[in-house]
Amino acid sequence: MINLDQITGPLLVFIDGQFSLEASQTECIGLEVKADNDGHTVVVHLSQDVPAIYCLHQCDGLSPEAPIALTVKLDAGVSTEIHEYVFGEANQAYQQTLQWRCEVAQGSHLLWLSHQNLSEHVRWHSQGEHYVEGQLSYHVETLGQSLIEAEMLVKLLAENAECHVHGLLVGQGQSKSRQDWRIEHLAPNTTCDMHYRALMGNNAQGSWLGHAHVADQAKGAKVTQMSRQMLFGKHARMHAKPELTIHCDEVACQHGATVGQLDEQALFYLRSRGLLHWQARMLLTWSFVQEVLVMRQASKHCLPEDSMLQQSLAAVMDHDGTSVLNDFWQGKEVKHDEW
Amino acid sequence: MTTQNQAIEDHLNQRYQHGFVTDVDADTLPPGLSENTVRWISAQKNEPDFLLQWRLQAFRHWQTLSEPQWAHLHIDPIDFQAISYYSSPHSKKDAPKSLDEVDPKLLETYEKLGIPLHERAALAGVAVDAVFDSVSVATTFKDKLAEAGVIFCSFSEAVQQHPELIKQYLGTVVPYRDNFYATLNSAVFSDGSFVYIPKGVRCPMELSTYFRINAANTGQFERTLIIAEPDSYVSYLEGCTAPMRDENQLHAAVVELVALDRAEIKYSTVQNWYPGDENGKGGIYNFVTKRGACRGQASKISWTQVETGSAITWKYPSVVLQGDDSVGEFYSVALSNLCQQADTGTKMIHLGKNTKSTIISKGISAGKGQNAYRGMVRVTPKAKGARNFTQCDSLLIGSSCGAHTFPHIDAACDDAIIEHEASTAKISEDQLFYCLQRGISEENAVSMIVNGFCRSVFQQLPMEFAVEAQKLLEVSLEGAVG
Amino acid sequence: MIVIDNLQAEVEGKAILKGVNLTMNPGEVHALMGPNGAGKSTLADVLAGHGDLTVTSGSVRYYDQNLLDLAPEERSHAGVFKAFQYPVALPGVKNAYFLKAAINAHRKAQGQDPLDAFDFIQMTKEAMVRVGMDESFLQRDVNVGFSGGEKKRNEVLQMLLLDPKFAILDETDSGLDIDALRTVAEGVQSLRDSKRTFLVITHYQRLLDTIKPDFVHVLANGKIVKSGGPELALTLEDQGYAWLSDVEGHNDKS
Repeated sequence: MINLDQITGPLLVFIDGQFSLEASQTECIGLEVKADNDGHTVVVHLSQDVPAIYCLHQCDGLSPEAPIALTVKLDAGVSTEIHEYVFGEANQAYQQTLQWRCEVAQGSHLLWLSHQNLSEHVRWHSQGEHYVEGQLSYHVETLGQSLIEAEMLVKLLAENAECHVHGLLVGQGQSKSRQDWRIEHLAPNTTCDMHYRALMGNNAQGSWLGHAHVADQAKGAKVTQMSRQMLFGKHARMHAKPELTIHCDEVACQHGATVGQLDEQALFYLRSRGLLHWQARMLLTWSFVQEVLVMRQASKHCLPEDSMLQQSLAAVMDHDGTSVLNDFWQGKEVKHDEW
Repeated sequence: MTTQNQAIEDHLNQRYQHGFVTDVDADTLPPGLSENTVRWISAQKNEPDFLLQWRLQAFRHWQTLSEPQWAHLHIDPIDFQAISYYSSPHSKKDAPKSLDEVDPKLLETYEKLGIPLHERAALAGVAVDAVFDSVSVATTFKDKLAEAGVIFCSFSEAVQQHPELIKQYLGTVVPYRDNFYATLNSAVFSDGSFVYIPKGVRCPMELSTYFRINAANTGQFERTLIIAEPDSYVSYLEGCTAPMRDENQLHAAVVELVALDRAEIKYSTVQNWYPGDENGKGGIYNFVTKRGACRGQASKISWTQVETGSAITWKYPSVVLQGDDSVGEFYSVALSNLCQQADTGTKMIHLGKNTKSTIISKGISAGKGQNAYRGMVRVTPKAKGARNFTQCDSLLIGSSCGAHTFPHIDAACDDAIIEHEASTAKISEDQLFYCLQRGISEENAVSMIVNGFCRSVFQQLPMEFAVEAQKLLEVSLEGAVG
Repeated sequence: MIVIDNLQAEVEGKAILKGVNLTMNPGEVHALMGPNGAGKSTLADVLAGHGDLTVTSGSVRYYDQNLLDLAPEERSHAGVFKAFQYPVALPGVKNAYFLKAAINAHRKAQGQDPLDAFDFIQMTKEAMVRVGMDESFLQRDVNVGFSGGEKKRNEVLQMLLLDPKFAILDETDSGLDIDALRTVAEGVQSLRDSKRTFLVITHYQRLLDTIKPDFVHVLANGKIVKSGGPELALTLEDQGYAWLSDVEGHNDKS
């Protein structure tokens, strides 16, 4: 999934839940990484801006299961990006638990991009608890066939704190995914937006819960929750729960959730321009996922696209992936080379 | 803002207008619940054995259950042994044959409530069944309905006159095992309304039931069953009030609707039970299970509710869309003021092909009120072509209230289209200012804006009740601006 | 040659087209006018192959093919182009990619190699100058946040690039300012040649001032009730459609 040669900058490597100091690269001004002896508890502390930190979780199930406790602390005014890659090829049942915690002080910004692509035997369970006075942006992309459970609690603690959570699920095979996002507005003028998109193929099952809580002291809170899902598989199933609990009258909340198919009008438009039916479908699917890819696209430090997402999309669309993609991705060439 | 606050205060101190107690002799069962209570109620009503057995099954099952905790409600523990499960006005011992035999005090009560029981007053063309505490006291327009073949009577009467229909349909939409309160109701239900619309009949008038809890420490457990045969239509409305009492009173009703091929049932509720006082003392606990089954092809069930009363409302009128091309609708206005708590919404279960459902929910929170929308839209794998549209909006008035939204979309069919939209806002200063600038008083402006907010629901009510609902809302909200 | 013969179509069970007859030869420009709800846009959709419509009777011969047998993309490959009244927005899809995908789909259908990036840019830039579009539009998502005029220019741009044999303009002039209107009209004018056919659906004379149609037809209540030369459009501009009701009534009786 990852070509390590492409990584320049600090790198944290976890192999089957254990921090590997050898494989990691932690020398960096403004960055302090502390790991306990058994390598399961790691604290990352940033006192200065670091452009990007890479974090790899390799889950091959070769060593005994052990939970990771990962804490990331950003001092006031510090910005960084964390690029997390969760991958693994375990060939027998294996569970990995990640307990993570972020502390984002005032004026600081943490952009966390998580890419998850695991084989069907891996069960990935993450529990996050985040204390935000500045800004936390979290992007999670779930591909693959595994069982993924993610629970995340974000507390917006200071005035003007912000939290943006974007998720994309491309469910294949027998995969199961559960995402529970809870965001608590505990201070005035705080903002959260949650965007979730899911494409469900085959027998994939998914559940998304987005919960925004606005406490009575959180005047001026802004909440946006949008979830859109498309079912392509005959036996796919999706649960969506966009929830709000509001205890304050100075709020602007919007939420929406849809389940549907590709827009027939748009398909017709594309076909009447000569695109083949499956091309039109691919293009619209791509358009569908765009909104939750903005964070990734905004990052300068994202590793080059390895076409994993495209392959997953093609698989979900039930079309022979390769031929589609060669054609389909010509658009990218245009974008990068000529313009 | 001081005048506004004063206005809120004034409003909040406003008295519940239906809070009088009617002083009639009543036969009231002493508090307590046991198998004997169930047997006593059944015997009192001279019920056939199948019904007694059904009640007993329900009671035995109920003993294994505990109260549901999942709702967004704070409920003081209810002592189910402290409630009386049956209260009947004396004159009911020998059921009145006509209105003349009804205790004049009762009639007076209904006059106070603005419910025209006398047929001369019922020019609006509404047939009324009135349930006072546990028993149905009078049904109007019986003859005219009988001409059309429509059966509209109290549930007890239906048990005597049409036991085969009761046997065939009772518990088929809400089984006695359904949930804690429905199970309790199945064991101890006292009375309620029964409606049967024969094949091809369009019911010639609106049918209406008014419920009133009068006796102290009394629970009201009515049960309503409406059956619409193929190609029939009925519009049914229920209204509810209760006197002011310091202690909480329990209301646990069950409503079952069955719509067969191409039949349509429109069920509207204007609920104005006593909400308790500004400190949350007293008021009705309203735990209601309402469900309709669109059993026939192209059948339609439409729920409309305006919920302004009760200390606690726990209610999810739902539709099971079994027939192909069937349609389910839910239109709701729920207001929580004072210390009221409402957890209400709907379930739309899509089983048949090309089934459609629409949900429009408007929640208004004021005072210390807590208002939650809870909904589920489920599309099962065989429900090809299912469509749902949901809109649930919340309006907050004042800073001590809460508005909550808990929708659940469960999609398991690859060509379902489900859309859910929601918004939460308060009455904007801009809107208010605009009205004030045009010379409209603040109270009127708020009432205008709130009514506008609820319009799409009020439009679903039969005309005369839409007016009533609008007034009810105005009374409940005058001056409540934060 | 395009021959529409007794074409009848319905939408959700409601008959909209009730027997349209129209023959269009290469090189001709036909204007189609008529009151709202007459079925003009429905006719355009039927010709382009929209799935919401059911053709209940009649045929459309398109050169040597039966047009109604073809899928929408096959019609496009065969040279049918419809400029949409309400072009669809595609968030996240760059205009440049979209245009290239469309051009190459056409080339592939004609057995040609895909256009390389350089040729594509050359060709597109030229066309954009002709329709008065800034190059930055290539980097924007298809029709996302475009003004009414920008959307219509984008439609004309696609028409120039796809070089159709039969172009249908569905009220491409509605909601346009004078400049945009001129662009649309000039775009059409510049494509006029002896091989191409245009069907221009419009409410207004002003587009026809520049695009001088060879024929003007009036569609009312699902049928063509009157055909004539350019002067018919002027009469309509002057007198509206009311005077046609006699004609229509007469036709219905006959």
